[in-house]
Amino acid sequence: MGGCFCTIVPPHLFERIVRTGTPEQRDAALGTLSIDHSIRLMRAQNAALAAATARRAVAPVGGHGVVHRTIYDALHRNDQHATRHLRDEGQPPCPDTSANQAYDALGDTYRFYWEVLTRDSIDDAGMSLLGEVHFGRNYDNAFWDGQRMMFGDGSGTMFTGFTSAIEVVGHELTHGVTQSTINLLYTGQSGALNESISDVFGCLVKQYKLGQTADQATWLIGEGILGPAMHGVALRSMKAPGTAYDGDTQPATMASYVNTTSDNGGVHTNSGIPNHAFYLVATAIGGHAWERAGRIWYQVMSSRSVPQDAQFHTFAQATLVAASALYGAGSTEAKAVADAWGEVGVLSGSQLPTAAALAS
Amino acid sequence: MTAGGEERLQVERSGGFGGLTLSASVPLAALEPRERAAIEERLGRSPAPPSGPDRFVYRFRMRGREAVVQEDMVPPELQPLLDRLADSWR
Repeated sequence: MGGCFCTIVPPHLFERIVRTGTPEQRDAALGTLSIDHSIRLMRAQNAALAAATARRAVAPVGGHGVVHRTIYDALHRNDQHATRHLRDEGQPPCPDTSANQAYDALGDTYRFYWEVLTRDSIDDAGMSLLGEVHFGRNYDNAFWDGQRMMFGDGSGTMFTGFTSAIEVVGHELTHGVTQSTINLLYTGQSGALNESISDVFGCLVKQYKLGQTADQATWLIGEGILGPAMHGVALRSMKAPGTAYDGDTQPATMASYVNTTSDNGGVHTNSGIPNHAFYLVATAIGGHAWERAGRIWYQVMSSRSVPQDAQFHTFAQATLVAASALYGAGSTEAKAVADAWGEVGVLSGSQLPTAAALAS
Repeated sequence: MTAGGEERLQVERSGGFGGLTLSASVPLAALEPRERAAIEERLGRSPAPPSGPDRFVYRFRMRGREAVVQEDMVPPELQPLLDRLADSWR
């Protein structure tokens, strides 16, 4: 008996297989039971989400849907609690270009999450968006510290800054969204998923702002921030992982998965695999990537349907469950998701739940 | 570990938003005593969990042993060494 269980098999039989079957039969039955449960749960969550969205549509102005930004000046120190304000919400542009760029990009990211996903900031409760610019000296990095987004100015040789690329700001804010939803452990595959989710939504923030379709978008992360020591167009390419710059080692498929202890187990390297899967889903569905592909990915986050230590295959199955719950088990969207994870080598045929299982 | 017979400290910086893995090295003889002590104290320790998304991770290797130190766990004694290496990352 293989891994395919049709849904005409009643649940009690699955349970008997779990108790008495071979290890292979047991795994397959457990997977089907778990997917079946996940879909029922997600359908209930969808109904609750729809009700919440309807309530928000009539929320008064000044409550939900209003961004609160503060941009601080780190004064070139490694100070994550800087107090000097450069620009507060509603103030006109200040003389500091980085501060204005961070302010604008945080606003664009907030707007994306609110208008597209009805999420009210990082915590979905209107959390203020705090950014610090000029962090450190010649600091070649940007990061989310759990409370604030930190932006270095770059050394000028490797990076020229981080606030000019809207997808970088979207990436950092999305780390906050991940932290307050599925909180994926930042190591190995769960860490690479954490990174990938930030790249996915960073890209979508940019595409939404520019009104681009999946075919029109560049799918590049870190466009325009490379200094003269870096030869390339960006740091990562979701369309063609491994081609963004000379020395880019990102894999696009599991066949090229990189085993390493650097970078917390290659979290910025192996993110190429789920990144490419998302790109494949978005281009297979077509149109605006945030409308359906983005909705499917976000559904996995907002419904918290994967554990903190989720591996690629667990996340992949969750996106398939989400696509089936949102658009139907036999839908173009569900097929695009299954095909994409198959193409990058994360889910093979026997790991894919059958259409019948998803429709049950 | 050696270049021209000279023992060196190898330092790797990985992670960060860019995910670039870069290396630099200095002769062991060029380390300040407190720098060397801070590294030796950490050699062979099990690495701390990741500090958070997009932070740098440092790996110090000397004499066949290594220490992995997350960016926000870098002790003050080692900050001057990292500052000296700022232009050497390759």
